[in-house]
Amino acid sequence: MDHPIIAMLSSPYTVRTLAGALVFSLIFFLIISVMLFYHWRKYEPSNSRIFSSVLIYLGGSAIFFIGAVYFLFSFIK
Amino acid sequence: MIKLEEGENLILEGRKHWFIAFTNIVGFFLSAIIPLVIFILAKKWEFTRDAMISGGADLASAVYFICFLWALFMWIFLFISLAKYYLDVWYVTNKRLVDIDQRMLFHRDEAVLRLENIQDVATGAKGIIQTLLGFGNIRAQTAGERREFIMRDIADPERIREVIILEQGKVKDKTISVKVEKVEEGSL
Repeated sequence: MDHPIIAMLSSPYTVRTLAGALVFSLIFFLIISVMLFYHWRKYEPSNSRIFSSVLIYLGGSAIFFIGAVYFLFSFIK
Repeated sequence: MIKLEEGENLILEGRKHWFIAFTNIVGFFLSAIIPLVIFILAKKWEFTRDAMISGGADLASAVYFICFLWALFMWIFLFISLAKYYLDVWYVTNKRLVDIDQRMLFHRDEAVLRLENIQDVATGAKGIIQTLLGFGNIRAQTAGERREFIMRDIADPERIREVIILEQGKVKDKTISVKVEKVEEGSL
C-alpha cells in the first residue's frame, strides 16, 4: 500500500491547490505593488530613489516567482 | 513633504533610527527561511523521516514551491514595512512640529503642534540598545487638547530637543517683542 503522502501528492487536487496558490500570490502581489508604487510616487520627490526601490522590489519578487513556477513545473512533471 | 506656511522654514526632517529598519530586514530574512528550516529538520526527525523518503522528489518540489511563495510574501511584507518606516516622518519648522504617523499604507495620522504651545520637551532612552545606539523618544507637553506629543525611536533625541527648544525660544522672543511694540504704540 502506498504511503499516504504519495497518495496526497498524486491527487489531482494537489496540483490545482498549488496552482491556485500561485495565482492568488500573483493577484496579491499585483494589488500590493500598485499600492506601494502609489505611495512612492506620491511621497518621494527623488525619481532615482523611486527607480532603485522599484528595481530592488521587482527584482526580488521576480526571483521568488521564477523559483515558485520552476518548482511547480517540476512537481507537475 | 509638508506644505509650509508663509514665512515658515524647514529646520529638521527626521525618521526613526536605522536600527528599526534593520530589525525589520533581519525579521524578514529569519521568517523567510522558516519553511526551509522545517523541511531540512523534517528529514532528520524520526517521525517524519519515512514520509520525507516516501515523498521523494515530488515532495521536495512541492515544499520548495511553498518555500518560494512564502519568501515572496515575506518580501512583500518587508517592503510594506519599509514604506511605513520611510513615510513615518516628522518635521521641525520655525513655527511648528509636525509628526506624520504612517500606521498602514492607507492610514496616515498627521499631528501638528505650534511651537508656542509647547510647555516642556523631554527625551528618554529605554534599554541597552536605545542607550548604546543613541535613539529614544521625545515627549512634548502641551497646554492644548492633545496634551502629550510623542515621537518614538527617534535618532539623536537630545539634539532634536535642543533644536526644538531653540526654535521655541525664537518664537517666544518674537511674540514678546510684538507685544512690547503694541504696548509702546498704545502708550504713545
